[in-house]
Amino acid sequence: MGFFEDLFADKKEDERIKMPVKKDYQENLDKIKEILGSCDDVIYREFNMAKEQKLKCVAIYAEGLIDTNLLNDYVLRNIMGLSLDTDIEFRSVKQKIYEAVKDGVIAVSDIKEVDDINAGIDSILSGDTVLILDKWDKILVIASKGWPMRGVSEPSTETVIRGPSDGFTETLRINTALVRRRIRDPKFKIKQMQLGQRSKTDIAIMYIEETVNKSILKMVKERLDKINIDAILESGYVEQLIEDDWRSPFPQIQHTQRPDVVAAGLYEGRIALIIDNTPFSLLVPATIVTLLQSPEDYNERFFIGSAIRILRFLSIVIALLLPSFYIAVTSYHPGMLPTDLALYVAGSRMNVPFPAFIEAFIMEAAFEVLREAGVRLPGAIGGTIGIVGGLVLGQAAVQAGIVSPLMVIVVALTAIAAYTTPNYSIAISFRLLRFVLMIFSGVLGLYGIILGLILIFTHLCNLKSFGVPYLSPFVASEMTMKDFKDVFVRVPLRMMKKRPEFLHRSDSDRLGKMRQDIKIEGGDSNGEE
Amino acid sequence: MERNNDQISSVQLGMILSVTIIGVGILTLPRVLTEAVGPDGWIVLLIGGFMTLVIGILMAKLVKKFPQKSIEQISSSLIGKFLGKIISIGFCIYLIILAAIETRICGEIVKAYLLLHTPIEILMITLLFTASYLARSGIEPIARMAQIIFPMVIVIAIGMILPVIPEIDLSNFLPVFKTPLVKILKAIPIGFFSFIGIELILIFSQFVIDKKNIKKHACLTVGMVLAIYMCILIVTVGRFGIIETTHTIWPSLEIFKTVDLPGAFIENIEIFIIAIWIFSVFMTLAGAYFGASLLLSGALGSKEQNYFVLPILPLIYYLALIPDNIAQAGDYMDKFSNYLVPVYVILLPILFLIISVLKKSKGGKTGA
Repeated sequence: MGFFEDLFADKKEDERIKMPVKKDYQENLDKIKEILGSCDDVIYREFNMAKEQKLKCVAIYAEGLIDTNLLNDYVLRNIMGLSLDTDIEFRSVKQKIYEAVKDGVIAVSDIKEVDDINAGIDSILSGDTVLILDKWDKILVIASKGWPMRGVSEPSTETVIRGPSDGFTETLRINTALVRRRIRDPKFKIKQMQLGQRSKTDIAIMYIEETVNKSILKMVKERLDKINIDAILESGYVEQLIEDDWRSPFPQIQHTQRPDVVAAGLYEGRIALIIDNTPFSLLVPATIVTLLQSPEDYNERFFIGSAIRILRFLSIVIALLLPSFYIAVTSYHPGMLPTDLALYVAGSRMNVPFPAFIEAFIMEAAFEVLREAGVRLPGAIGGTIGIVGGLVLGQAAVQAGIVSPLMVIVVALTAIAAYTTPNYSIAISFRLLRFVLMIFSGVLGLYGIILGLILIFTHLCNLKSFGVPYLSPFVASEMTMKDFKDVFVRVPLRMMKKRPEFLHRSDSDRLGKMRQDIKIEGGDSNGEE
Repeated sequence: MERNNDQISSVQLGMILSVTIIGVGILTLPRVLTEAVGPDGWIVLLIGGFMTLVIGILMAKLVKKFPQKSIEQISSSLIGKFLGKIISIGFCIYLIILAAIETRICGEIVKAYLLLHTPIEILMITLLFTASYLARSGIEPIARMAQIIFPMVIVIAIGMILPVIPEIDLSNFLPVFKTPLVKILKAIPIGFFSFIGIELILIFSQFVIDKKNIKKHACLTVGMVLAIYMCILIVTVGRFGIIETTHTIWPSLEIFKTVDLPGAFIENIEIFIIAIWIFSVFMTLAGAYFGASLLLSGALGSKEQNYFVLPILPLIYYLALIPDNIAQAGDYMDKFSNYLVPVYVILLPILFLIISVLKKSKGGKTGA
């Protein structure tokens, strides 16, 4: 496993000046106070210890970031108590008093020594407590993180009816735990690093050693190392800095709020990035197919899963093409419709003062405004938007004769169709491209739509996500039908014996032979004798 | 991004060839065949397909001898640097003319069927700019695009042909072998030229990783295209009969006007067929366009193929504008296929193969 160790080998950050801890207690304390001057949330609790109260001590922490009970009950009480009930016998091990404090007194599970003041300061600011003892050239870092945090709750995006309803929270550690609970495999690795010059945001890279594609993992690590930014506030920052093509309207990295999606991705051989302070984690590489999958496709039986998949692909076509198709047919190719329908369309548009393109554009833009308002409004008022926008505006616009009733149907259908996509980012891309196609269609009719589609396809063909073609498995260099088991339809789990091919990872067996030793009561429902 | 390291598999090469060969030819194929030999068009098509198969195998043999070499490097090593350059520039011009023809015919069809009042210049220039985007992207995206478009074309074409099948009257192909042999022989070029595009093996093979499979996939491609042509020919002539087919400008499109999908709310299926056909023509155009820019950059000693895409665009556009009308465009197309195609598709690979064999045996002797 030399590869993984090399990849994550702790390259000492040379550019940061190391500030060694001195033996002099006061010097150390002054240095920290100087660096953390004017940081009024940092508390310095100075106290003395040992029999004659000669040994000076200080505990430094940031108020609000730590669990005060832990500090009081298991650290301060024990150390201070040391001076009261220990006798000379203890003092005889004078040289080892520090080790004794560390190993025998502080009753906290996670504790470590550092010899760099800057590292100590980082620990203070990330919620640990730093303990400096007199005449000792190390400082103790006590893990005492305990800030108020949101509990695990249902994710606000990607909701499913059947499936777990725990979602990621803003705390990295809880998020990794949620994934670990789903993968109890020692080969499942969580590697942590920090990004952001000032924010020093924790980022966890997660993968399963035996399924991951090493070259992709290497690429992820290299791109993360290249990031030089002052702050990472959300996973979107990381996403935009490591994606393959920043000019593309399509998301090349999947974001998710669901630990079960992350776990499934890891089992497929993908790599997950969990970023502190955001409930959205990232999955790489992403292809257009993975972005259109919902966990529910797998939780339900395959008929239902497949039917929903097909429905979703269909609705993307509708969301992307319907308005531009309406424009093309009404203004350029009325002959495409059967005569009755053509007459009806023409009749309904008789009083409309605008060309179809303007009409469609007004309505689609109005819908986007409504949608945006609905997102920004407080929840209580949100429902009102639906009534005002949908009923009042739509109805009134038709009655006033500004738009045709058919156009309202088109807008409603595209609006609803766009929301069948589980991934929010790719839904936005399709909505955006819808307007582009509408312009093409307004200028050149059906020919314009075709040219627009060719341009979109060309762009998609150019796109890669961490070296994996974005349109996999449609464009695999070897003709393989294997991955099509999980594209338009979702074949029964029994048939998905291999992991998806597009990642080219090593361990490909997903499903072993069904266990034969367990006899199922009532005959051969297993199908294999 | 290092573009020049792009690699494709021979499967992808086969896909590219398939969508490239199916271009403007398919629209007029039933008419020109029937005009020449009446009901025996299928024989001519079969012979043409067989010839293409042989040529394809020869080309595959040739490029297998020169792994990862461009056609310019191959010809330079065979007949000298200067002649090699001339050959590759000639090939480039050939591809530019091919691209111009595709552009013009596509513009004419779109104007005739989709946009009656839009000037053809607009239709052509938009198509060219769209193609330039793909041509700039390099061989890998072209291969992926072919992989997307090829199944689409096949599935929709089959779906559209199915409703016509009950109306086919196979007696339209009788009597068999009525045409005199001389006439059939004279018509063979028509059958052969409908497979123009196969010569792109010579250019694209430099990107192929698994050279040894090129032959197999070239054969598959020719077989597949032949099957599609055969379907179109049988459906068109079987439905329309000899006389009607010869009197229709685009018989392969008109056939879909007769299709009435049961229960569909869309009439005039041929508009959809045109849409699908534009995808296919687009791929022919993009393939030729990319090939031309690649050859030009090679001839000028540059490694950056994509710099040469946009400078070629006005040239293609200008050439596409030369014919005054569709009939003249047809004339130019005939001239092109009668003079340039035999040189580059038949003569060149055979000649190169012979020279390479001779050189090798010579080299082998001196080496031994």
